[in-house]
Amino acid sequence: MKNHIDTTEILKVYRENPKKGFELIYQNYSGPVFRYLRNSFNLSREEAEDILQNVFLPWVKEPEKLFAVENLSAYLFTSARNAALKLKNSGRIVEMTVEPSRGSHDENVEAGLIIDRALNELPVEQKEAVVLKVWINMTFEEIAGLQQCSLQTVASRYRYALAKLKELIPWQK
Amino acid sequence: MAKIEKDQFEEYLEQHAPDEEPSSQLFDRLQKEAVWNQPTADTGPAIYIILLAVIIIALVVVAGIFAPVEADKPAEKPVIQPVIKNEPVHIIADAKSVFKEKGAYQLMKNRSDDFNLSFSADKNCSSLFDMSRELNSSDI
Repeated sequence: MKNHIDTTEILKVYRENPKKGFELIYQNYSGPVFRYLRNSFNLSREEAEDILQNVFLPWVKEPEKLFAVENLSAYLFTSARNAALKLKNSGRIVEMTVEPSRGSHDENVEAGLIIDRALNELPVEQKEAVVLKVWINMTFEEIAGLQQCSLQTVASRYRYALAKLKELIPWQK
Repeated sequence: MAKIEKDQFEEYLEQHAPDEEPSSQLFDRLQKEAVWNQPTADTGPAIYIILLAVIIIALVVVAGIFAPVEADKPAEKPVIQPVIKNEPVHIIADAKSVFKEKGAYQLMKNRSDDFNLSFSADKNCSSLFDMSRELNSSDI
């Protein structure tokens, strides 16, 4: 993630003081992982929160088992992704109409809803590439690691997704 | 030109990024489960259970030491005696003619003519004290 979070420092704090370290981890990653789940896999708030809870639960219950984690972002997003795909493959997810994933304070709620609808027209991998690249600020390398595919594949998915979204979203008006 | 349009579209998407956050209850639920928030008193019963288990194991071990050892002995293997084939005995004498009749009576009779247990020769049928004797075959 191209942000200013020093994950090495966070993990160091977590190893020395799990309580304080977990607060930092939750503060920096709960939102992005939650939004990733909601927008990439079309999950309801409850489903996304359930997965998020399962992702973070080991970090509060058995800290010593997670001291060896080196790539915090990859670990959290991979855990969330695996859980979401498992839930999706189990058939328990009811395909829902677009549930607003933006707060009511958004200046342009309507535009947000149009984007959400357009995203739902894309295949999961393409939608995931857009969400991770544009909204989570992941690099193509990080997305490739998460999706377990090559850089070229991720770049192609992203390019196709943007082209399709441009057709669906009246963004220049 | 196309590249600029693409960047602008990405910026447009970024401007409309979702800002959703998980509910605050989620953090509270996680904190409740956290190992650092578990009361230390909970470890009390666990210690007693472990101690009890150790005592039971020690008793089992001690009982095992004083248990009769026979139970642990392996079953003895049956000893198979070698089969000895007796060779047929070489007959060097046949006593059939001498010991045709059984008993000491016949033996005495055959060995000595002087010795006769038969009461038939005792004509007087009297004892040393001149008492008459009754013959009874069952006395013989």
